[in-house]
Amino acid sequence: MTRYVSLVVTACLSAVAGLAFQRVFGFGPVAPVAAVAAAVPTVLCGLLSGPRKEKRPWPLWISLVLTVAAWTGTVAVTVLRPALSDGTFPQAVREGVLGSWKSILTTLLPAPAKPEFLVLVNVLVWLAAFASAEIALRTRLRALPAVPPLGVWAVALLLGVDGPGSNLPLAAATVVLIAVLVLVRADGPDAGPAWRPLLSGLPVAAVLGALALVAGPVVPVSADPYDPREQVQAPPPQQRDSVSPLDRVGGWLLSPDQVMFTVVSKRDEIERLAVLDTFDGVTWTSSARFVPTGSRVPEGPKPRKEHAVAQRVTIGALPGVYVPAPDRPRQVDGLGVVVDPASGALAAAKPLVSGRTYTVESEVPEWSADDLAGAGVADDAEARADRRLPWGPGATTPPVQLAEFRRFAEAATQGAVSPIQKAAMLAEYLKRYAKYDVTAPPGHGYRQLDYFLGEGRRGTPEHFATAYALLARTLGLPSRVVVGFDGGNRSGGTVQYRSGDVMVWPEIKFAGLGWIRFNPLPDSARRSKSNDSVAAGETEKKLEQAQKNAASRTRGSGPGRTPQKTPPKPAAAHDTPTPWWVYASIAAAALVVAYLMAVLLAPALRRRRRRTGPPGDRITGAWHQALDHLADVGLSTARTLTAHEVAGFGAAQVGEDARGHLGPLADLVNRSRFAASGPDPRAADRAWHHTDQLGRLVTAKAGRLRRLRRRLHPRSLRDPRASGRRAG
Amino acid sequence: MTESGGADADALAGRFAQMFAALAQNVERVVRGKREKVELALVCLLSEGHLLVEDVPGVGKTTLARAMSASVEAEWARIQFTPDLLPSDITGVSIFNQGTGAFEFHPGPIFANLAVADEINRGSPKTQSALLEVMEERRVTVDGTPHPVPRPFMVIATQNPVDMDGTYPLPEAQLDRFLMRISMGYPDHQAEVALLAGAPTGALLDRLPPVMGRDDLARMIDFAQRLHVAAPLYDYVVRVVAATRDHPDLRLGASPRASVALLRAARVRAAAAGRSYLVPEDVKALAVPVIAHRLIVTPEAELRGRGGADVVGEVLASVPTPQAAGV
Repeated sequence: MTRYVSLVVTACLSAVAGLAFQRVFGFGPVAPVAAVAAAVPTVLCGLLSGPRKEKRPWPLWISLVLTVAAWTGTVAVTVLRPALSDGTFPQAVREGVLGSWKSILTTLLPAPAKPEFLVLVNVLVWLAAFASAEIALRTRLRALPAVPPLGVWAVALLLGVDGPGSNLPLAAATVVLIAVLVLVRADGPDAGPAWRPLLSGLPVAAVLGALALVAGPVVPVSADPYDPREQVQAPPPQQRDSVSPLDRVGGWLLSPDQVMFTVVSKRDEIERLAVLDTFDGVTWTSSARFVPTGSRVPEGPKPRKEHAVAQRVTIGALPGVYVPAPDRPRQVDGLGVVVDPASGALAAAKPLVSGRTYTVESEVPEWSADDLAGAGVADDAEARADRRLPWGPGATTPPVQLAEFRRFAEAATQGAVSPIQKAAMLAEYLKRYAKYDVTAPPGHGYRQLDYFLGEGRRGTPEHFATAYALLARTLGLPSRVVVGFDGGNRSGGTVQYRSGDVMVWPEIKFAGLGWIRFNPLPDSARRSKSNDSVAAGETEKKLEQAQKNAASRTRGSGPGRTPQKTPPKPAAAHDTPTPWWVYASIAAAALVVAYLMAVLLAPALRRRRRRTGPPGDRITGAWHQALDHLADVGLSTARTLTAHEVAGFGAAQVGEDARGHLGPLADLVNRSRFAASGPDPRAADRAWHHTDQLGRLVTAKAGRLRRLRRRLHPRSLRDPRASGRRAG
Repeated sequence: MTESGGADADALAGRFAQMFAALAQNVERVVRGKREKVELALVCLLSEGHLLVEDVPGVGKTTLARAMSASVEAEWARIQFTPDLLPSDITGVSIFNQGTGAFEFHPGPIFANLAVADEINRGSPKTQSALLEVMEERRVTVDGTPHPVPRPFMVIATQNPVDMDGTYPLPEAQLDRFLMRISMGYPDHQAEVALLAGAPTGALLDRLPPVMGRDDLARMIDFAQRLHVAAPLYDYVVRVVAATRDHPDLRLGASPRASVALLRAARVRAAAAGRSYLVPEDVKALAVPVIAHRLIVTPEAELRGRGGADVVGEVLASVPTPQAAGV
C-alpha cells in the first residue's frame, strides 16, 4: 500500500520538476509534456511491481527495457508526432536528447516550444519519474526517491535562470511533496502508511512549503544567479559580415543615392545598424555575442522615459547581415534575427537581400538634462573594457599619438568637472574644431586620426566619431562607435534611407543610464549632404539639448563639488559582474551536496546490496549490518571476536534487549557459515528482523544525532567489511 | 549415533547434548560447584584424551576421576607416584607360571578405563616415561608383547604446583600427550558449605548411579569425531597454533599434535552444545586448556610473570576469527 502511495507522490514530484521548465518555454507547452512524462513511467513501474515469487519485484532490466520502449512510443505519438510523419523521427530524437540543451542555452528565453526542445523536458522528466518510482519500490529509504526529480530541478534551473517568471511556487510545492513522501514512507514499503504521523505531519509540510516560498527570494544567490549562458561562446559578428559597416561609410558617402532601405513609420528615428565597441589600434570591431531570440529582444537599461515606435522596414541595397532598427528594439517579426543581448544590436541569420521586409517595435529612450546632470561614469566590466587603448597589432611600445590625443582631449575639456560635462564639451569642441568633408581619406587608426586632428581637420562621420571615442577613452570615459542612418527622405508615411544618410556617432556609458549618444559632427554636416535629407529627429534634438543643459548646469559648481547621482541599485546590480565568491560558494555548495549524497547513499546502497542474494549471503549481510550498528555504540573492531563475543559486547553496550536479538543472530550467522547444510530464506528473514530491531535499539541508545554524525564521516563511503566478504 | 549431516545430524547432536548434560550433572553431584571443570574433563574423556590436573591436594581430583568412571560404568585405578615407583608397577609384569611353565602377563593398574596418576611429578623420569607409550598408542608392550588397554582409556594425572621439592618436572614429550591441563581450584563458599552439609563424598560415590554404559560412551566419541568442520575453521585452528611458534615470549610453541587435539576437543564441545558443526567459539573456549601447557615460556617472559595461558590469550586476541569480516 505504502509503495503505491509513494508512487503517486514521486509522480507529482517529477511533474512539478518538469513544470520548472516553464521559465524556459512557458507553462502552456511544458504542462502536458511534464504530466505525460511523469505519469506513464510511474504507472509502468507500478504495474511491474506486482507480486512475483517471494513477493519481490521484477528484475530491474525488465523495467528498463519496457520503459525505453514505452518512452519511444509515447514521444512518437506526442511531442515528435510531426517528425514521425515526415520520417525524421530518429534524427529528431537524437537532436532532442543530445543537442537541444545547446540550442536552448544559446537562445534567449522564452525559447520557442519546438518539438526537439520539448523532447529534452520529456526525457528528463521521464527518467526522473522512472528512477524515482524504482527507488520507491525497491528500497526503504524515505527521501531517496526525491533525488531524481531534484536532478530535473537542477537542469531546469540552469536552463531557465534567465527566463521570465518565477519557480518559487513550484519550489515550495516540491518541498511539501518531499515532506509528504517522507511521511508516507515512514513505515517502509511492506507495511501500510502510518496515517497518524502522516496526518499530523501534513501541516508541518505545508508550513515548510510556505517557508520555502517566503525564504526563496532572500536566498543570496537568487539576486545574481549563475547563468550558464554566460559561458556559451556565440560566433563573433566578423564571421557573419566580412566587411565592417564602418569601413563602408566612406564609400556610401561618396555614392550617396543608393536606397539602402525604406521605413514606414509615423516618427523619424535614428536607425542603428552596428555597434562597434572594440578598438585594436587600427580598426573598430564588435564583441557582441549574438544569440537566437525567436522574435523577442531582451530589455536593456530602463530609462525614466521612453516612447514606443513601430516600423515596417523593407531592405534595399543594404549589404551584410546587420539589421537596422531604432534603439532599443523589443520585437522583430518577419525576419530571422540573432540578437546581442548587451547592446540590442540585430543581425540577420542570413545575409540581407533586397526586398526583404520585416517589422520592428522599439522603445526609444528620452533623456532629460535632469537624467544626465551628475551622471557618473560606468565602471562595470564592459565599461572597463571600453576604456582600453591598445597599442596596435604587434606593437611593443605605446603609439606616440596617444599622449597627443590625451593633451588634445584635456585641452578640449578644460574646466569640465563632471563626466557628462567632459563628454559634452568634447563633442562641442570637435564640432567647431573640424569640418565635415566626405572626400576625406577613410581610415580610423591612430595615424589617420592624428592626421585628422592635426593637419587635416576635415573628415567624415567616421573620423569625427572614432576620434571622439578615442579622445574620450584618453579621458577615462568608456566609449564605443555606432554605425547607423540618420535623416532619410520622408514621403508621406515612408522614409527612404539612402547611402548618404549613413551616420557614425560615439556613445559614452554612464552608470545607471547605459550608453548615451553624442554628436561631434558639425551642424554643417546635415546641410552638406547632397540628398534632401529630413531634419534630425525630435529625439536627437532633445538629447543634444539635454546634454548642453546638463553640461552647463554642472559647469559652475566647481571642481570636486559636482553632485554625482547615485546610480539606481537595480541597474548597478545588473551591470556588476558576478563576484568570484559566488562561483566559489556554488562550487563549495555543490561539493557539499555531492559529499552529503555520497555519504548518505553509500551506506544505503550497501544495506540494499546486503539484503539481496542467496540466504547465506543475506544472513552474512545482516551480520555485517549489525556490526555497522554496533560501531555506533563503540565497537571498533570485531576481527578477532566470535559472533557470540560480539553479541556479548552488544548486550553490554546497548542493553539486555539487544542480547535477545544478537544471540539468535549470532547463531544464525554461525550456522550459515559453518554448518554443512545451507540456511533457508526464512532464516535470512529472521536474521534481518533481528538486525533491524537491533538498529532501532542502537538508535534509541546512541541517539539519532550521534548516528547521523557517524554517517557523515568519510569512512561511511568505505565498506569496512568488503575485504572480509571477498575473503569469505 | 552413527550418522551425521543435515537434520539427522542436528537431532543426534541434540541427543548428544542431552547425554553430555546428564553425565555432567551426575558427576557434579559429588564434584560440586565445578561445572566448568567437570565439562572440560568430560570433553577430554569424550575426545579420548588425557587430563592433567594441576592443583593442590584435597580439591577433588580423585573424586572427579571416580565420579566420571562411576557415571559411565568404567573401571578406574589409582597410581600414587613416588620416587621409588617402578615402571612395572604401572604397566604390569610377566611372571613365570610354574604350573603352565610359561610367563604370564599380570597387567598393572594402567589397564583401567580411567587411571588416576596422582602426583605424577613425584615419579622418576623413568617411571613417568612408562606412560608415554600407553598414553599415545593405548597399549603396553612387555617383553615384546603388546597389551592393549580397554576403551575408553583416559589418564588423569595430578601434580602439586606448590610443593616442588623432590619432584621431577614432566618433560615436554610427556606434557604434549595430555590433551588438556586444568586447575580444579577451590570451591566457592556456597559449594563448600553444601559439601559440609551433605553426605560424605565417599558414600555418595558409592551410590552414584551410572548414566550410560561404555558402549554408549564409545558411540558418543565416534559421533563427535564425525562432526562437520567448515574449511575456514581448519585454517583458524592452524593459525592459532602456528601463532604460538613465532611468539617472542615462547621458547617452544605448540606442536601439530596440539592442532589435532584442539580440533578433537572442539568437536566434542560443539556436540555438547547440541550443534552438528563447529564454530569459532568452540576453538576459542578450549584453546587455553589444550595449548597452554604445551608451551615453554622464555626465562625473560617468565620473569615478567607471563605464562602459557597469557600467550594463548594474546594469540586469540590477534588471530582473526573466520566469520569476522573486518570492521
